[in-house]
Amino acid sequence: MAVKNSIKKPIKYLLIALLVGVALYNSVYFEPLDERHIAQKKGVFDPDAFAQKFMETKLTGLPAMEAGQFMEALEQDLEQFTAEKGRKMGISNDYYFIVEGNGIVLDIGNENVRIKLEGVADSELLIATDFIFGNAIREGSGMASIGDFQNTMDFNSISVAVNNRVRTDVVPPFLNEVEEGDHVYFKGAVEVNTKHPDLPNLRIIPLILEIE
Amino acid sequence: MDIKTTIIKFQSIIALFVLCVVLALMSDKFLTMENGWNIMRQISVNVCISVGMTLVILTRGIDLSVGSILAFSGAVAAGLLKFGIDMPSLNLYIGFTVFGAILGGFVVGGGLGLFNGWMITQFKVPPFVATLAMLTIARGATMLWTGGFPITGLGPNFAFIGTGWFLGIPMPVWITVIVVAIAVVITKKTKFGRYIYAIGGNESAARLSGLNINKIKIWVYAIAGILAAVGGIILTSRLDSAQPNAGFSYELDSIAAVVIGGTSLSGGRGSIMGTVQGALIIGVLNSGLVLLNVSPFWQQIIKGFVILIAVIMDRVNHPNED
Repeated sequence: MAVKNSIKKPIKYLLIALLVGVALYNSVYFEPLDERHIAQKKGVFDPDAFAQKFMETKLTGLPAMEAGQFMEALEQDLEQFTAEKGRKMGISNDYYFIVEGNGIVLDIGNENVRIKLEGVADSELLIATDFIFGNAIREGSGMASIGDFQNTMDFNSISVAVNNRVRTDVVPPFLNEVEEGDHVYFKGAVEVNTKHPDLPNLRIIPLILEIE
Repeated sequence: MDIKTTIIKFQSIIALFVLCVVLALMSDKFLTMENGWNIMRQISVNVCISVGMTLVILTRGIDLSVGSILAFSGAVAAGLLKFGIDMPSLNLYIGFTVFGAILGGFVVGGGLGLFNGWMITQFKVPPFVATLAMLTIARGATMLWTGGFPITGLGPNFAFIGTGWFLGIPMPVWITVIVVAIAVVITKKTKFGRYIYAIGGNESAARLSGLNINKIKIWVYAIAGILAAVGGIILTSRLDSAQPNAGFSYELDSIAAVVIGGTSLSGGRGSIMGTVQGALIIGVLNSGLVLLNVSPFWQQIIKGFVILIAVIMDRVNHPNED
């Protein structure tokens, strides 16, 4: 009996050591630190430069849905369309899209310009000209992924920087010239909340605004 | 078994049933699959930490640190996964896989629980005080580890734990079911489980019977720590973010689930399934009150009264306990 126990103990410890070994082998990996730093290109993140580069180089080629088709799809099956085509962050009900299209200016308000979409019956949108906040552009364009940032401050600062660009570079030239009845081309980001969609008052944060 | 005994035995289930019927009549959104899964996902964290709390309370103890251990374990797992460990003196970076990060979280949770048990058994610090101290220690450690900022962007593999589905059931529910099943087997079918009840029922008698009380208690607190870590990892994964203030006041929800589930705060009486029912009652109540647009301030008051009623009923049904 004693001999049996003396054999059992080493087997038990061997099994435990084996389990710990397998667990550790699958838990960690090693890299030279300097190579990793080079690979990561660690440095101080500059959100303004990031936003400027985006506005200057990525904007025209940014994939966008045609606004009329976008509105129709939302009206047909909002839940399915947003789930399939929209971008969202985490577990919220807010989905983001980039849309573009042509419209006729109906009304120039203090906070928005209301337009009627061309070629689509009874479809209107608001183009935001004031209160430009939130993450619609960042999320809708997919310009940045949170996983690429060391902290959320850097990630959030992208939205602040790109919204600032819209406020200073996009909206003022448009507001200086626009008049009711003008034909405009727009491209921008829109946020759709699936629980409270409010489709008649969807608000586009503009990235490109051109009076035709 | 007479009617009174039957009602007492199944009081949690009866209360849960009545609650569901009332809420289903008052809100047409309550009795839906979507809401059912929502409730299950929401209570999964509370069930995990409440299972550990049940074991602790069965030994006549209390663990106020589970919320903070949950936060710290989740943050450690997230930090290891996202940043790894830099060792400049060796020019070495140690990266962690999802499995490794989770293991790291468990080690931290178990270690802090072990420390609780050690303080309580070796230095005779009352459980209330020892775990209250750990509550602030672990919260401070979480702040230090995270620098006060959330750790986000943990990747789809880690997110699957909290947001994924397997065989049509959310992953947090699977994890909770496994935790509960193991705990039920431990408490009902193992010597260790019987020792837990024995210590809570009469510690002196258990000691005189030759039980190593200290060892069992240390294990119980360590298990409570590991289960808090399980809850922390589910929560971190679900939010894709380790928040420095995660798990704040979760210990109170956990104690409430245990008490509502019929476990005696005097120790030695209670069950894991009772605690699950208690957590379900809290979850259903939370969901129902939200669906009925009840003000959050009133929700707190109502939950407080539910806990009071549960304890009063327990005292009425077991008048001879301390």
